[in-house]
Amino acid sequence: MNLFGRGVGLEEQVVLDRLLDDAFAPGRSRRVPISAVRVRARVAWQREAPESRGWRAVAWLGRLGETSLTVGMTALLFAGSLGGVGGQTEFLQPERGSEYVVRVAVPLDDSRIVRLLRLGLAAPGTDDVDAATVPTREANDGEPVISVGERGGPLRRTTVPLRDDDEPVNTVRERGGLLR
Amino acid sequence: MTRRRAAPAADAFEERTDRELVVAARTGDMPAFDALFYRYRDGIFRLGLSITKDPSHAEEIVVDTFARAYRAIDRLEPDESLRPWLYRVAVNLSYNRQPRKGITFSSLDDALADVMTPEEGSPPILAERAEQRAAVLECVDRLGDKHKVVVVLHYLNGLNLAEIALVVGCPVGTVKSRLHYALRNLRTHLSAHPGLSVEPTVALGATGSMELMRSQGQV
Repeated sequence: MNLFGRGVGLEEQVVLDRLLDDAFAPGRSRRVPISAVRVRARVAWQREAPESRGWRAVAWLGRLGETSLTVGMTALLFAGSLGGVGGQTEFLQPERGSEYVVRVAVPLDDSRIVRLLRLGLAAPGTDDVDAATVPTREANDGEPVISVGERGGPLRRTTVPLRDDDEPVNTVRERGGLLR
Repeated sequence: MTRRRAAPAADAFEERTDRELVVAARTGDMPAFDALFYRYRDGIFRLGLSITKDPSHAEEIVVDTFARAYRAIDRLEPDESLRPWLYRVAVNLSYNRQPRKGITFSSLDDALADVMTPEEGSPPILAERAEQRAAVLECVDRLGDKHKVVVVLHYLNGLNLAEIALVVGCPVGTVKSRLHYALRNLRTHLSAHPGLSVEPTVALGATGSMELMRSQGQV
């Protein structure tokens, strides 16, 4: 008893050979119209680029430039996203019981300094005070203070004359309202 | 004029062996490489077509095979035959381009049917012969990959067992074994077709004996 099955006998082999030969006969006569030019084109297309030292250096510099540009753009975008958060308007909460104050640094003027001296107040060294400025002795921290006197109402920006070489520094304290 | 000049040149290349053509191609003789291409392109195309079932894929396999041969021409050993090397590359490329599951290309017999050469005989005989071919090729398609490639290389491409062993990368005994089992499976499949004069395999060893006894009513 053959566990692997009955083998192919000689007569069966002849029959199978004849059948397979006959079945593959049309395939054996098949011709394919491919030109050798197609192979040459494929070889030329896949041919590697010339690798001289000059070309390698140029390619390396090009890759370096691309990489640095990518890193720079990424850093710029990242910094821009952080700057957007910090650029929001800053609101200062007023101290409890105090008035709304607008602190304005304005350019100096001789007539204003004389007026402050008449009032018995020491004029600040570099800052000038607006005509409507009434500095309070209690809460004076050395900076000119404008008392607005509006509690809870909308705060108006004071128009401050500017000198050419000085920039105004506006510090706004308000409660519940937005600076317009 | 061109044909008259080209014909003797082609004959000269036809007479040269693979080794001579490979040596000439190494020195940059492109006509020698072209002669190798025209010598083996049809066989590689048939092999690719029998595995991929797609003529366009088979053409790409031919081009890819010879492109690789051109790049590896310096590493090829002239003493060895070029044909098994080319067929080995073609078989590997063909397996990479095998049709995916769920995608049905035309069968091998369908691919070959459109180029069947006109034969002599009455229409009923021709129809019967075409039906037999279709049945045989269908059974070949049902074989496993290892068995199928051996059958195709032997019966379609005409390679002997030693060359097939070089192509598939196994000993000659393994090739013999695969061919034997392939023919046995074919015999089993073909016995279902009454017109092919292949006797049914009722006596297949242990299982076959059991079937034989069962058919005789002894079990």
